[in-house]
Amino acid sequence: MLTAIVVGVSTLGVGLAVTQKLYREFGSIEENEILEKITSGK
Amino acid sequence: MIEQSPAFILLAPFFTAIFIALVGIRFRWICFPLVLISLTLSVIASVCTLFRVLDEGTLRYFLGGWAPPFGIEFRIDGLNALVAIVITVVALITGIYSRQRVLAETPDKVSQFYTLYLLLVAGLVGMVITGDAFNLYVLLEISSLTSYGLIAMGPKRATLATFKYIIMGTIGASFYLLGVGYLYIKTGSLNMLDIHEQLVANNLLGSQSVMVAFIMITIGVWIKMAFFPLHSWLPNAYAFAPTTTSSLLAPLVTKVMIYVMIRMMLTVFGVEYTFIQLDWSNIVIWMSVIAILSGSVMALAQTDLRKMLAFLIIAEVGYMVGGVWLADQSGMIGAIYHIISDAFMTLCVFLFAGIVFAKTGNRNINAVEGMFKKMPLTMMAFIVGAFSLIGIPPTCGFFSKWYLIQGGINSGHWEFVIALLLSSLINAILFFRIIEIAYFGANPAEGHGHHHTEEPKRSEASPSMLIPLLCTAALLLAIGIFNDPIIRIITDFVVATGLR
Amino acid sequence: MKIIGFIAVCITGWLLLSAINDFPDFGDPHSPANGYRLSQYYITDTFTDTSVPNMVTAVLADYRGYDTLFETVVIFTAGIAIIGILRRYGSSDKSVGRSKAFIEEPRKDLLIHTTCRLLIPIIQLFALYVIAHGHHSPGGGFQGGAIFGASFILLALAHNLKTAEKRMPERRILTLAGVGIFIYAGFGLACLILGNNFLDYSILHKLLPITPIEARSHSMLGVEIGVAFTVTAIMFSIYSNLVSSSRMKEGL
Repeated sequence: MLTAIVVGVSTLGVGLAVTQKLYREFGSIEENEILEKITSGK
Repeated sequence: MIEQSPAFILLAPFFTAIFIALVGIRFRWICFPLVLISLTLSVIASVCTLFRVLDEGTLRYFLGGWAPPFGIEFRIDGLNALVAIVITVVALITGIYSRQRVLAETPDKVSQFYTLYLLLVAGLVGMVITGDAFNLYVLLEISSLTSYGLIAMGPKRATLATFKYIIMGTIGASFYLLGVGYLYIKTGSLNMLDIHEQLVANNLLGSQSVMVAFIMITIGVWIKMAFFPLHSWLPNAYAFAPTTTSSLLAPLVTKVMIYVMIRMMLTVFGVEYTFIQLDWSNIVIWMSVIAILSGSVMALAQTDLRKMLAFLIIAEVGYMVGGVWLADQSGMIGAIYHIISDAFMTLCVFLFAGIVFAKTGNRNINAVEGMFKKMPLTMMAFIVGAFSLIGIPPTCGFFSKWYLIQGGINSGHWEFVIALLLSSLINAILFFRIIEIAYFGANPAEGHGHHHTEEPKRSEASPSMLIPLLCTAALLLAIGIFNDPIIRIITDFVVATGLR
Repeated sequence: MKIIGFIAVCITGWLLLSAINDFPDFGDPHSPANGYRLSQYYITDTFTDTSVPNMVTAVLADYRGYDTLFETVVIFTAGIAIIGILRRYGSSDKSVGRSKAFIEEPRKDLLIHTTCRLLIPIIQLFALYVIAHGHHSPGGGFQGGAIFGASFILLALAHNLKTAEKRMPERRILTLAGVGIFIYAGFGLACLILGNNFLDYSILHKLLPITPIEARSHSMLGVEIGVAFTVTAIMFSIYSNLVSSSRMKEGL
């Protein structure tokens, strides 16, 4: 139980941080838009 | 003090990681020497442990002084000791290599980088030496969280790759945890050996929930090791991560997960159950054949050097999963030996890719153009690594493939043998293409018209990057030529599990 | 893609449910998890082994203390990883974010401020109680640390991040987190130096005028305090980094 909470908090925190960084770098959190930006060579 | 050696393998990087987190921000110069010292200690401890295992047989180290199943134990036999040495040595080599790249790629986050780096090493070593199924999960989470952080420090595209990795990695770890939970419901124990004893003693091996547990654990571990249909997170994550990160993750993470699979199959569920009662070898071997072939073919389609190598890892994972599931002694020996040799050959080619990237700033395969003239030593080391991946003697890649093929023939799985040979052929095409570009240039036909008036100057990579690469190449040859003692340790382990 | 995901979820669910019939009854005292010697041993022998009445704490911090050490490290890792991912040292990015006046000026709301002033000390006191009383009643380092961290988050919510940052600056956060793990692992290392295995607290009776069994109980308290340090610091660190995109300037 404790492990579930600890791991849950940690993974969620890191996941949110990565999402924020995604938004900062691509200006979007939609996977389609991000992929479009990558393929259009930006 | 010698009886504490198993603990020191893990504690040296662990304590140093915390120490770096405390003082590394203020004193940035202290990080690198501390990393080297701690990893050297860890290598010494793991070598000591191996010699003790050879002398005394299986080592047991009770944490907190509580005997299992009440407490947690480190349980070290020949297999763990070998894999632990591989992890610490690879980490040490990458540690030396990291010096310049970390300062160049993440100059403002050196202390965070090294903290996560050492914690990752501690997590991987901990997974390997532990004898407790649940403790393995906790350390699995540590190694995954650190690798998410390390990959996400990379440039733009690494972030998207990390997000994929987080989702897939969490699913994989949860599957593993569900499997362990099912086992706990049925046996009431978490110690690996004790679970096995309970399963046998209470005649639980036929029950549905144990089978579900087996499936959950296997699929969870497959996700983590990027076995073919579950591999989508791996190529981008390894290709876009910072150089040091990918040279540490690529050799280690998938191999440690293969170790976990072997440990679960042989120690927790037992040979009888995995290979005789369930008898899924045929399906899994066909899956690994598909993994080998598609990994190789996809590698052929890449123009990004590191991405190509990442797809080769997927093919190599196919080798090892197939070798384990052959249910044959030489297949198993080949798979375990391949863990060791593949860790070093992947390290070798990834270090090379890092040097190419550092020198040219270009990820494309064509970046190696003219390297033979500019960096002969680097190219020699790379050729050793490439020959090992193709499987040319006397490199260690040859011997592991030899055993794998022998296992395939013994157990009558010709499709596996053919896939191995085909993939070796594709590897040969891949690497000779690179060697050709490095020797003759990207477009030899066009180059005929005008001669280069000036010879390109010799400019090797800096010693801190070159020496690790040369060491790795030397190790590849050494492991290949002196394969006898290693094979003997592995054979002892495999025979002890009762596999024929 | 969504259909494939749906099929995968259905198969997994079916697989997990298919084994349900095979399980022992819910709450069955003779099920393997309850009746097997492991649980019996913990129930009957915990007090004589460790002199801790709360056997959950004893299992957590002593029998399986190695797991708990690494659970603390999981939290610590998450904190460091988030800083590593989000932080951009030196670059002052003003394109994203709210206006300066909004950031710097504390919100003036008498009702909220007064409530916080009254509540925060009580929350912190309660957190200390939960940490210190972990042996005897439900509680311990993780729970107490989370409550303590929550008090700082409440402060940041009620005023702004800057006010809370003044009380808990980043450097102090990292120091606290590292020191917390050092306390925990230090107990383990002390045992190792004195000649026992890692985390075998009983040898610590050599340092204190107590019996080996009491040494276990006291070390557990020490270990819980270490956990509480780390959890407090990292809880607030995760919040402040995520809420300000690691610029440490604004906040809700």
